Amino acid sequence: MCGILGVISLRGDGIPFSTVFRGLDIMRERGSGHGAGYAMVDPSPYVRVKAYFESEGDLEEARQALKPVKEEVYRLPGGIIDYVAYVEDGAPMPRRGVVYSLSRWLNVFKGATWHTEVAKLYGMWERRSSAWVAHIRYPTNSPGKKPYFSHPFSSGDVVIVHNGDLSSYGSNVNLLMYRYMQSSFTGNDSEAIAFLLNALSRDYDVEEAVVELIEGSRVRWARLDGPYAVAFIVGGEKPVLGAFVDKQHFRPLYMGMDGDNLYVASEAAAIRAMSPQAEVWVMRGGEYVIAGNGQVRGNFRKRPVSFVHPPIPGNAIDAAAYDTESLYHVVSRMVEEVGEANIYNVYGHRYIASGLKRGIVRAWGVVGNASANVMSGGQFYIYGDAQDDLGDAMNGGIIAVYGNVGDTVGQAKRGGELYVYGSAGTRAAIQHRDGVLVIGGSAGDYLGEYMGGGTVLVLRHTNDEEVGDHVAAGMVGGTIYIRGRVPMGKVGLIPRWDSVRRYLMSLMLDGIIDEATYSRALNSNDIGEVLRHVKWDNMYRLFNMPPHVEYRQLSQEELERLGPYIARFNDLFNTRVSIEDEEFTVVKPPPQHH
Amino acid sequence: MLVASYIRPAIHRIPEFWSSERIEYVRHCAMHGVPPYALEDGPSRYGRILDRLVFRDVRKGDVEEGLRKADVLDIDLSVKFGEYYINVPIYIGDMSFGALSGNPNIAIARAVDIVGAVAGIGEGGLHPEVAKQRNIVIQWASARFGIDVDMLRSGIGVSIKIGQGAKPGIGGHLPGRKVVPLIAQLRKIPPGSEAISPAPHHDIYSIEDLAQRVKALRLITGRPVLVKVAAVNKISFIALGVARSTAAGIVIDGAGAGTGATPIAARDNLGIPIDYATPVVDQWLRSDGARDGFLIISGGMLYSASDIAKMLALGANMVNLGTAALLAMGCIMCHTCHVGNCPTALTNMIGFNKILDIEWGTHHLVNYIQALTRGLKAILYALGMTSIRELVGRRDLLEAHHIDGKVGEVLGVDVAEEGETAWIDSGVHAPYTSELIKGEPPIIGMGGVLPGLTRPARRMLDVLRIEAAQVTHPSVDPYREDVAVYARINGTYLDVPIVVPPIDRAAATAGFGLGALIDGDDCTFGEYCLNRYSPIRVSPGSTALTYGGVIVIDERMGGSMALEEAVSRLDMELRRVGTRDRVVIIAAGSFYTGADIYRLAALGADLVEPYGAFEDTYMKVKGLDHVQRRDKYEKLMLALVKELKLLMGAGGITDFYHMVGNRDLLRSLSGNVASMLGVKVAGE
Repeated sequence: MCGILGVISLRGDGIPFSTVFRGLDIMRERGSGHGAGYAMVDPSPYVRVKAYFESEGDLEEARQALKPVKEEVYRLPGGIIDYVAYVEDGAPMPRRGVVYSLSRWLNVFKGATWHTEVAKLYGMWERRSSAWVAHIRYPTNSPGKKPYFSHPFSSGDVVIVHNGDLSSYGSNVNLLMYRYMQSSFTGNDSEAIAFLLNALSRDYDVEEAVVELIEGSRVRWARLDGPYAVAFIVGGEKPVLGAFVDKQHFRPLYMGMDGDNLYVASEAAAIRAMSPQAEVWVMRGGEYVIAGNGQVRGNFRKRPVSFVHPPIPGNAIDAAAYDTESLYHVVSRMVEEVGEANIYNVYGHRYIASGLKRGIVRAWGVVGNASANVMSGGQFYIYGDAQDDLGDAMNGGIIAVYGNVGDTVGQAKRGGELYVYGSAGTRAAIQHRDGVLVIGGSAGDYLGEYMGGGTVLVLRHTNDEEVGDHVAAGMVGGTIYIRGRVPMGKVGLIPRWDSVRRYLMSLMLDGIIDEATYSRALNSNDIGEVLRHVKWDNMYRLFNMPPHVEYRQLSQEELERLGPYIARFNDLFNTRVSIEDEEFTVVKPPPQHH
Repeated sequence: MLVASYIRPAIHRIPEFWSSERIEYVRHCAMHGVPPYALEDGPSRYGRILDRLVFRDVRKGDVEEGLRKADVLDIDLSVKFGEYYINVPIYIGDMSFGALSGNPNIAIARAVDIVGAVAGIGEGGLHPEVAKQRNIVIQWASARFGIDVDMLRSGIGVSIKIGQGAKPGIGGHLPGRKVVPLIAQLRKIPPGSEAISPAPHHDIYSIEDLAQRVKALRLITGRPVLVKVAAVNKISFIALGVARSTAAGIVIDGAGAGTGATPIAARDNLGIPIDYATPVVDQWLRSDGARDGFLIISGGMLYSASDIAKMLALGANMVNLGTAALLAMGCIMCHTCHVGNCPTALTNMIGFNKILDIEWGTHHLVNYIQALTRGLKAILYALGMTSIRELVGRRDLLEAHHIDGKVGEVLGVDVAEEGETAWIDSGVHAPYTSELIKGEPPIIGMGGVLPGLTRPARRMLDVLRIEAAQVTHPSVDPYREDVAVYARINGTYLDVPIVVPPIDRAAATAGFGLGALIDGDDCTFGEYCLNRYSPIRVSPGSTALTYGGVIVIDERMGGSMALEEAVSRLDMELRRVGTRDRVVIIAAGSFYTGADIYRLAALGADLVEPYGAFEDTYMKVKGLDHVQRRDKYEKLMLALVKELKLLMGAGGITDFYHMVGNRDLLRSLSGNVASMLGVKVAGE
């Protein structure tokens, strides 16, 4: 659970620990003081065995067995001994204790405490490495009292950090136990991912192994189900850093690049904190990236956006001096007293302008999660990116984001206007009920899911990438306008065509439809058309009627109704977007079937 | 027509928790303001765990004496709730305006103010009359109906609803016919539309997301925040996460809890009972130092003074009563809340011709709560205590009868008299095939059904509870998102993991249409014919070949063990010898529901041949023509698959093929059944 982070130098240069720390520290809110850790590429002439013991006797026994060339011993609270031994290849392993790292390429440091404490204990500030992963933990499936349960988890030369909670854990463990002869588990699902990735990368290359974890098309029970965002390093002569996120994007994962390094993190603010100049965007569900040896591979798309922000006024408050809660109170008080608040150096501070009723808030930086929630009036200008859950249950007012936004923007929004210069992540406008959401770039999967009303406009102006899959799944009201043609395969839930054909065949066999209807239905462009051809009630139970889709230019009435919002968009972002003479995909709820 | 009297309770063919005796207890309390008794006589052999627990050293005479002088006893029942004190440890739980018809909402809000209890208003907007009362808790649920800042601040607290005991992992649902203009306006949705709340909050996919929402609501409102979750397998982890989130407490809703509308498949199979969940959570939080100042509010099939006392001893600070409050106001447990024509004017559609007399309802609910507090004082008196705080977590005062040692160990309660926890009776059977052949998973109102405890389970399989997701990962709504139920047999993709038994040619075509596998010698559907794969048919428990191929374990062939046990053992055995992915296991038996298919798969079956459901259907359709019969078989399979998808989605499972053999998704109510099938015990 938690916050994850990964960084690699594309040239193999040393990245100082201070960079990693800055990123992780920004994600304090994702932690709880019950676990944190770091892993780095740190080649050693000897194999580094790192293990926890709970008694001096066990430690002594391990010493005797390992016969280390050199060793380090750390005595931790709770009577736990952290033991590091440098051994020759082929040395026997300790029989007791928990070995948490065993590699000549990687080095792992972790503890059941805050990230600051782990850094202090293991002298992290002195270290540099070409690749890092780091983790801050909010425990889900273990109490978080012992360092064994902290991330990173490693298996051989693979080390991972994970934010998630697998519903497939039992299946994955079966595979590990029986196929890969893995016998001991701490019960932690993240550990299982490390084991799986290591085991799979013996049979496949790293990229194939990652795809197998996402899809499970070759190895049964390898597929990860449930939410996950993972960053990992595979150690070796040429180390690789990778990251991937579950297909439904149930966990946040942002990616960034600057001239030197590639970054991934649970929050955009963490990447900005590591590299203020980096281009940052949100990854979509099922995307992965693998970087190393000067190459970057993967199925991800870059979605950066840049905007020259207005200068910060002299009376602005330095948000860096406040934690999230105190910043919230300071901003609320200022808005109440003088009608406006300007804040800069915002790095993931949450809840900003939540509950706002009137006045103006301007923020420079990266606005954190759950901001502008239950906002019912006033104006909120964000000069930079906004993370997840912006404008949840918004009733009124205006929000303008001069950058990208994360997932779930405008959830259950009931009024007001929300303008995004760049692109939106997954599930934009979910349960949107009224008001307007204008997205200048593109949007990820499940755009307008459960949408009940209001207007969503996706202009694909600052990013002309196609929108994601499952547009308008479960839509019951409102209208989505997307510039350009969105194929029907991206709208709603799409059945497999083989299944449709077989079903029609069975209807023909039973004489429910004749051959002519069968052929006509087979020639349909989409499932909605099939449903219109065939009069057989059960078909509506088997296949969902897709949302109603039209490809066309906007009508005069629509141009008049939407014109003011486009004018406002242009005015805010200094653009010259026009919606006249453009083809739009217009998505409305499916016709009711009774 | 104004409703201001009790009518005769409904009669149930198969025993349910809400028996006429229990309804009488509530009515007695509500009419007289004192309970008929404070502690029942001795433990029960069947029923909830609570019914099998007794206070060890309590003398009946002391309890009776306490009850007689309850009003003069100086016993403190108050609970600190944020900066407020609540007089009695009772929370009337979260029944929305819309699910209830308005007047009952008002009566509840008034009654809690009078007695100093607290009431959650549920999701769906604040009734203006309810808004006038003080002791209300505003709910923040996934659909955000009617939410604004002023509304959020109008109670003494805010509750984030993650899930409910009647349908963990499945979203709230107000049927379209109950969305009349007034409700539509309050919820800001079109009149007549189904008011569906997404199963997860799409901003809360994890514990840290929840912590973020808790903090956001606390900051916006300045009120203490509660988190309401259903009791599920991982409840202890969830509770710890909530305790660390700065929330004031957790409302845990157990299996069997009431609701306005739930799929039967969810009601009967998902989540775990509150008497398993509460002690586990209390122990877990104590061991982690996270218990002090944190409220545990437990609910789900609770109604009596004795229930409250035992729940506190098991580890709760307060109890959540929902169904019992409705019983006090006249509910007859007819299970038709979802229809909208409630005979007692509680859950009827607004505008229906009956309305509840608010005065009458308030009066009876006040009496009922006062009776419970008198009973509770009597028990505390007999225990020699002067405050309920002394009772919380005192599991040592209880002893269990008629449960197995393993369950006792999980609960942390001494077992005085061991017995089989599960109530299994193969003669009692409540199939609902006649509902399934309408093509949809049937919906029902109210709870009170826990197979294996409050109602006999037909077989071991029914004693296994199915995992539902709460907080740590999101559930998935199968109607709007992909839940894949395809299976593979020797390279052929099946769209559904069902084998159609050789019963009727019409069933075979329907099965082919849906992409099922067809059993029988006269199958003409090529790769969809089971016989094409030369299956080996064995009885449960007989030795099966382990090198590869298709094995049908068929309970019609007799056998030395139960089919569910044979499937689980074979799955584990094949994994051990390393041939599991070369074998297809088909479980053929008398199965009826999507839950049966789910559980067999989690125990290790790749495909299920539920001939019970097909035989039932055959009996109902045999007089019809081929196309009509096909229609019914098709509807049966569609409903079975939808049930399966609902249950998978509830646990956040999106892929059937990869979930086969995932025993971690099941928990047993019985220690013996657990060890036979290789699963853990609920709460473990």
